Amino acid sequence: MDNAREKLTRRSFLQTTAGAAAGAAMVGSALGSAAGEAPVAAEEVKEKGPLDDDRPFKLGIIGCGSQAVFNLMPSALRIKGIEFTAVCDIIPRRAEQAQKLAGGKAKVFDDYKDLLKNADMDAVMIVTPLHLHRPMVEEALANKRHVFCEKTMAYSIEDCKAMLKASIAAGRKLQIGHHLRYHPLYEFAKRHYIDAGLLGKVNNIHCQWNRNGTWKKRPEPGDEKVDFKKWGYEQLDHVVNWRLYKKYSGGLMTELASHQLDVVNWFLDAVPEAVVGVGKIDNKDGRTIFDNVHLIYEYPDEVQVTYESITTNSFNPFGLQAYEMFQGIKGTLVMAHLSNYVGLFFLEPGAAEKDWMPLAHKTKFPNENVPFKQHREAIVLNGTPSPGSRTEKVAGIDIVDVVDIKAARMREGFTTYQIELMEFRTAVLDGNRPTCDGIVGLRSAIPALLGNEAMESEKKVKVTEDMYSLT
Amino acid sequence: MAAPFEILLDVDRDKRELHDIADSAFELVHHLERQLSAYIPESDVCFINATAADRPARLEPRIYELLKTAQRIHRETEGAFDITTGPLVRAWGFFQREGRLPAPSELEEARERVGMEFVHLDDETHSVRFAKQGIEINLGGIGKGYVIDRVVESLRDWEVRCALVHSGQSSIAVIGKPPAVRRAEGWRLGVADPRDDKQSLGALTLTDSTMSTSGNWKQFFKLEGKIYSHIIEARTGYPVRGMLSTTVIGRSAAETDALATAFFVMGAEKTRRHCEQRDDVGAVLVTGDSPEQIAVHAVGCTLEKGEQEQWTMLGKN
Repeated sequence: MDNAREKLTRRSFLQTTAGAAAGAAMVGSALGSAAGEAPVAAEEVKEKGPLDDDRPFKLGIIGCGSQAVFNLMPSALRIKGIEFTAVCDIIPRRAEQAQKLAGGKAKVFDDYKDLLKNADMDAVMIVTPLHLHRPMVEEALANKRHVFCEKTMAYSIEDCKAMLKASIAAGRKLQIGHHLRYHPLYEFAKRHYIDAGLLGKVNNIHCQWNRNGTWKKRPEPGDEKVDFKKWGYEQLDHVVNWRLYKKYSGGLMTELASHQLDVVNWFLDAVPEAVVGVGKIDNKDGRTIFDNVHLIYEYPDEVQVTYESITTNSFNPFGLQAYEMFQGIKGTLVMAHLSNYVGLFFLEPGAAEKDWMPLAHKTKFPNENVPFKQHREAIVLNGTPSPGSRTEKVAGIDIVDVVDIKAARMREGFTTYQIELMEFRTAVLDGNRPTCDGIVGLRSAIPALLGNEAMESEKKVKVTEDMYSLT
Repeated sequence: MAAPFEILLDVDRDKRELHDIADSAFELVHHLERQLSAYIPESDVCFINATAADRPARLEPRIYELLKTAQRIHRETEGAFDITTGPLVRAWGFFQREGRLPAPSELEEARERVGMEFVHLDDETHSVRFAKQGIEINLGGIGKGYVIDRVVESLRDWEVRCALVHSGQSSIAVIGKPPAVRRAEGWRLGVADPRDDKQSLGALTLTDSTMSTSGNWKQFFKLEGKIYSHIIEARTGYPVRGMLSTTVIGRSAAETDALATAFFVMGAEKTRRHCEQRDDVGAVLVTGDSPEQIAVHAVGCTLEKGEQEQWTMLGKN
């Protein structure tokens, strides 16, 4: 009974959100009109953007750290028509590096407000420390700019809601960079394994992102020239290592976990109801964020999600750096976005062929000839361009089949950043709703931000209605 | 990279700082690998191969410049260096690490899909376009060198004045001279004996230079009594015979990496002519049809006898 009531309440949360969004939309919002709709199936949105779309799209970018210069910019520059006309960083070396990447044509700024006011661009990308997301997004929207903002959406739920409201009021797009929403293998797994019911009722999910490394960076040559006080940092180390300090970041929860918790939200089509957690600091170097986190989330329908991320040991049983493991009564699905488009499926003992194969046949996946003789055999979901190996074992378990997935954009070597930015162009130029808009961003920020709150307060934190409500 | 990647730094400053410098370099290696590897589906190489026959594949400027370098070396070596030989390499079974003699029809089919003339680069849009279907590129012969160049560039930003960087020892770059305590004129790097990697044929003394090697005895195979190498001559479609190893020194690891392959194909005479036109490139070639009979040719450099660098590695793969 409790569960049913919870579900009802949850629906009303969503309606509250939708109502507020629709109300604001009447004032004149492009985003608002779509904001309250049921989530659009990702593949529909994704396939809408034609591959030969080469319309000019001028971008400015604020924050030129490694996420910008190693991931977003190279991916954006693969897309015909996209051009960076403005780059901004408080560290001159980084801005110059980004300008070089942009082909030397971009105008360089050190103050984001200047860029937002003066740059000749169709939209702006905000790729800065977490505490800056809200002020920068609000300023961008005040300047009537469309915004792509990196995940996690913001430093607090209040900040997320303020950004969402501002985008609706300004009638400008706000897309959040949860790029796994654009991962073709994840879309495939969601559709053909989770939604098709191949796993049966999922009661448990475990996510892990374990690494061995301090995460601490040394200022690079030239960084010492930054006037860090002017930009609100206490010391130079904070500019470089903002991820390690509570004042600027949520640490592992907002920088890593939020990717995986976003996937959990997406695959369950839900947000958590409550969370408990314990965190500690293993690297005693003055950092103030937890670098060893263990959390348990309660999701609707009695799904329990355990999350772990540590920084002093990288071992994991599948040989995958980070994974999300969905454990259903009929099978287990393991997704791993860092491992070359490969997912794993294990059939559960007790899930007899009569029970499971009809589903597999109905969905046409895996292929109908899967010779599942025994339990504890694995299927590999292979999204790589070359056919997968059919002889290896995984985690000591025989691979009985490799499903070579035919998703055009995966086969063509698109990065998830590339796909999300193609969609961003379509959203801005055609007025479409992006798959990961502000609502999705807010929903996915909740488990990351409340996880920190639970660990800090050492109490169970419940998700309340006002977290969704825009009023 | 599939090959180990190692960085040797002088302990002339704080050890913690050295580790930070190495960490930052390895982070760069990691990102570049994700652009260059033929085994990572969303790499730039896979993206190009999957799309460039249908529409221009646009690239960020540095990878585009690398393709320009590959094109220039292809031209300067009269086609001996060629990043499009993938279909031939596959026909000969080298991707599976087993040599096999392909059927003539198979070879003919593969040859039709090889040729730099089908790779069009557009400086205006930084894009690459294949003039026909079936063309593919592989940066295996230049990519490791490029990564080393980028690492050297970043180490110089850190004001590192003494370092050695190598990727599986197929390409090496040195910054400055060895640590001052050794009072050496330069880094003495051994040229491996292609018959036995543990033995060397002599050493080259280098400062602020790069060195790349192609070929060792393990990379040969015997078929119907003939010895073939794992390097294919694009023009004939056949693996090169008669060359056992090439070692090239120069100023850029991308270039020496590519030239090591090119000189392997070009042979001793053409290599000599090529090196004579340049004052910044030298080579040591080992020729012979069998391990018993080898000849060593040093062009534009001097192979010295005596003690060589023995280094222990700082860093990690």
